[in-house]
Amino acid sequence: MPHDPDQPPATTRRRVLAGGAVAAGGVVVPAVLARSALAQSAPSTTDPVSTPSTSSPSAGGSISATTTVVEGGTPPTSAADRPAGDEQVTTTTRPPQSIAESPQDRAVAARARSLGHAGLRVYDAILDGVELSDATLAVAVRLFRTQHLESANAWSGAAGLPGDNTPNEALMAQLRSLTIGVRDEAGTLQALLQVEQTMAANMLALVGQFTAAAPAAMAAGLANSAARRAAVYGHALGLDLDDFIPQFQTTDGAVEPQEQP
Amino acid sequence: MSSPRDDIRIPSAESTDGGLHRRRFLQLSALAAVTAAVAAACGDNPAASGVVPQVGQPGTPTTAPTPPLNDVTLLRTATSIELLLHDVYGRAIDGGQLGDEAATAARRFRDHHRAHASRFQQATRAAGGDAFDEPSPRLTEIIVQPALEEAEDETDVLSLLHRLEELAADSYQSFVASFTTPELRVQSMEVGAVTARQAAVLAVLLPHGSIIAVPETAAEAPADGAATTTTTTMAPAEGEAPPDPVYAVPGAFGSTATAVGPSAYV
Repeated sequence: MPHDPDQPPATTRRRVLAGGAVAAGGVVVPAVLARSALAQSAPSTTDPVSTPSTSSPSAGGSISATTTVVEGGTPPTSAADRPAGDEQVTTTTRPPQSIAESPQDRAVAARARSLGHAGLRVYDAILDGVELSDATLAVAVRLFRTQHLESANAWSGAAGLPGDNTPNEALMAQLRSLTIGVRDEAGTLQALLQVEQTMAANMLALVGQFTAAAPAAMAAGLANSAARRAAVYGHALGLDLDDFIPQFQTTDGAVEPQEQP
Repeated sequence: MSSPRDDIRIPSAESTDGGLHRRRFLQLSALAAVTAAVAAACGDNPAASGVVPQVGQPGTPTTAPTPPLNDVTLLRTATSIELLLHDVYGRAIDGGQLGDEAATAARRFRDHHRAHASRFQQATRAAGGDAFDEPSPRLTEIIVQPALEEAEDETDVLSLLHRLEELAADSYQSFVASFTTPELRVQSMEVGAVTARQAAVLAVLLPHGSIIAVPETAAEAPADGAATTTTTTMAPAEGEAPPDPVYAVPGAFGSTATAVGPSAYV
């Protein structure tokens, strides 16, 4: 339907109710947001397992690129090279900075990446041969699976780590029992709930293991996402709220730092 | 009922009792100001006298108070958000508009927020600050009060609760980047991950909520599951635009889209 320029867009009471918090959040907000922007940048990934790190959350907006095209081709590289009277040209591309710069933080980031790959592998094992009857949930589960890959790739990119798809062996061992004999729908969802509960605990543990704030903020975003996935499974199973929403998130079940892949 | 204008007892513009009515008062005030300005401009050369003429009293320059961005400020802000949620859940339960499932969740979540507030208050004192002890006045004024006045049914109330849970989850995630110690970052997320779960549950309870943004049909979903298009699950009433859809899991990396700043408690 064409929009009548004389008529304002339809804004209903319910839209105001739903949108009020967002608008207000935007008003009251955000010096903090700029600092934690990296946690919002979701890298896009399409190919599981075989694709090493592609894109990653920017390390706090550290990439700066300004390019102006010059007539006649290649931009001059220095003032001395520049013809007199020519328009000044700047071409600057700073390489992205790693958000995990200390050796300790890089080690934690490497573990975080291995946890993401382990999540992906466990999902694959649990879902092998299983068809979920709820179409929406089935699509969601497939998306949740790829979110573990996204997190692994994000750690590679954000921390400047070389490509490595090795899953965290300690987590694989911990969750292996979930992959055995799971064939019915409820069992599948229960196993996936357990995976996400464990991932949320691991991501919270990572928040406290990083010394720098930026990678900790990224782990925080991943903890929130894992917690949400766990809540989806718990609700889909019809569990009591206490069974999947604790009063406080804990690190129970998280892989110990010394348990490296 | 008397209005503020009644209270100041300014006669109306049509007053014929010889009093100084409001419009006349404004006119005379403006005339007086213009006259004073003209007189000042026609006086001695200001440069020669060294005095710049002026009308009225100069204001005292002030700077808007800005709370320092430190751990205590963040913890007090977090406390104010938790107490706000505790308060709003209580009002929602007392309002009687929630069905059984939503009311059960509301009672549980309200208790969680009370515990969260206590945890943040303890952390504030441990960090050397004074614990905040009331629901965020600012958020109450600009979000909660208007929304509750408009709320007519369960969906309205749940929408408000969902948005506030999202606000809390996003805020605690964003605070991690500002806290100065790993211990406080963890404390922020011990609560943040719970509010994220609660937001997810409320999202799927809403008629315009869904687990994720799903394609129109499952068959259209890309093989890798990276859904990009959305579908609306609630039929809009005639003449009403549908509410924006909400999702239990908006993305892989959490969100800080609705986070509040560290001074939201003031």
